[in-house]
Amino acid sequence: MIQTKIDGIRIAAISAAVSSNWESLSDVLGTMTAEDRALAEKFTKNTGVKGRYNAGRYQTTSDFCYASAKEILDKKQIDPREIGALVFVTQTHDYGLPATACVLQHRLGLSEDCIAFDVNLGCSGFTYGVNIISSLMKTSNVSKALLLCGDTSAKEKNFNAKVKQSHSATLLFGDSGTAALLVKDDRAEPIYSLSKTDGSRYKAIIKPYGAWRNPEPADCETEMDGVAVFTFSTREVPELITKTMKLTDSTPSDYDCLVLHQANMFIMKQIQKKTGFTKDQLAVSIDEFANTSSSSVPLTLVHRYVNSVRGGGGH
Amino acid sequence: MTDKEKIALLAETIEADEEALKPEALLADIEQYDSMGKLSIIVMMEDEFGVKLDSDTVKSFVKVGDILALMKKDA
Repeated sequence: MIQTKIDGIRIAAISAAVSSNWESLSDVLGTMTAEDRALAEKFTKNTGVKGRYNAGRYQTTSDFCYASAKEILDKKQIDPREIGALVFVTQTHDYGLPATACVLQHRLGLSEDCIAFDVNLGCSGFTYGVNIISSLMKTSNVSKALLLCGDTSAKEKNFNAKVKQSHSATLLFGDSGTAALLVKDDRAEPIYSLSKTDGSRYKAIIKPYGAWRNPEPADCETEMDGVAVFTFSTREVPELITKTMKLTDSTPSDYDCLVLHQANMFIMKQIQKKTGFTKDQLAVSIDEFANTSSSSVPLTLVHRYVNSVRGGGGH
Repeated sequence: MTDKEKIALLAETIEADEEALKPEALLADIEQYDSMGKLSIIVMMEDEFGVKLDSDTVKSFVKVGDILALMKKDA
C-alpha cells in the first residue's frame, strides 16, 4: 500500500449540489403493490436508503460539479485565474471525448494555464483525488486547485421490468456532484492516508458493455457482485482505518466523526463497529441522498456540517 | 453446537422459520436467503465461528446443509 503524508495543503472549502427532484423509494418503484411496498421497506431497513435526488434527463454530473465549484469561487471571492488545476473524478462523463474536465475548465472561466483532466474512479474517488491533486500541487507552482467529484449513477437505471431482478443496483444510487478547493498553506495540519488497489477483483462492480472490450451497445446495466463488495469492504477497509490511526497515534475518540463512502448502511455499520467508532460518530447521508459514488464523502461532510445542500450547494 | 442449535442460529440470522431450514432444503426456495441474507450469514460466520466466507464459497452453496457444514470453529 502507499502511505501518504501531505504537508502544506489544506482543504479550504467543500460544496455539494443535487437536483431539486427528490424521489422516495416508493416513487421510484411506481405504482405500489403490497409486494412492492414490502420490498421498499426491506430495502430501506437493510441499506438505509429512503430515497434519492434524480438528475434531469439532460442534467449531467458536470452540471452539479459546475454549480458546486461556482458556489466556492463566488463565496470565497476567488479569481478563476488563480486556479491552477482541475481534476474531475467521475464514471459518468459528458462525452466519449474529450475529458469533461476540459469542458468544466472553460465553463468555469478558468485560465488555459490551469491543467484539467478526468479520473475514472467511483467509491474511492475523493480520497484518491485529494492524493492526486495534492501531489500535483506539491511539485508545481499551483497554489489553488479544484477537485470535482460526482456521478449520476441513478440515471442509467431502467425503472421497469428489471426492478425486481436487480433492485439492489436500481434503488441504491443517487445523483450528485461536489467540489473541493485545495490551497497551499504552510500552517495546514498534515493529511495522512493509506491507499491500495485490488485489481484482481475488477469484476466486482463492472459495466461490461458499450466501451472498447465489448463494443456492443450497453443493453444491460452495471453489474455488481454484492457479496464480493461486502467482504472486501468489511475486511480491507477497517484494517486501513486502524493502520491510519496508528500512523497518527490517534484513537476514535480523537475524531469528530467517521466519514465513510456511503456504500450501504449495513457495510458502514460493520466498518464502524470493527474500528471502534461509536454510532453517533458515523456520519450518514445515504438515507436522503442514496449512494452517490465518488461524491459521497464530500457530500456527507457538507450534509453533516451545513444544514442543507438543497438549491445548489453550500460550503 | 448441535445441528438444531445451528439451524436456530441460522434462522435468527436471516429472520426465517427454523422449520424451513432443514439441511436438505434448497436455498433458492428460501425467500429470506436474498442478497442481504447472504451478507448477514457472512457476518454471523465470522463473528460466531471465525470463518471468513468469500464470494465463490457463498455462490457454491446450494442447500442449507452446505452452510451448516461450515458452522464450526475449525472450518
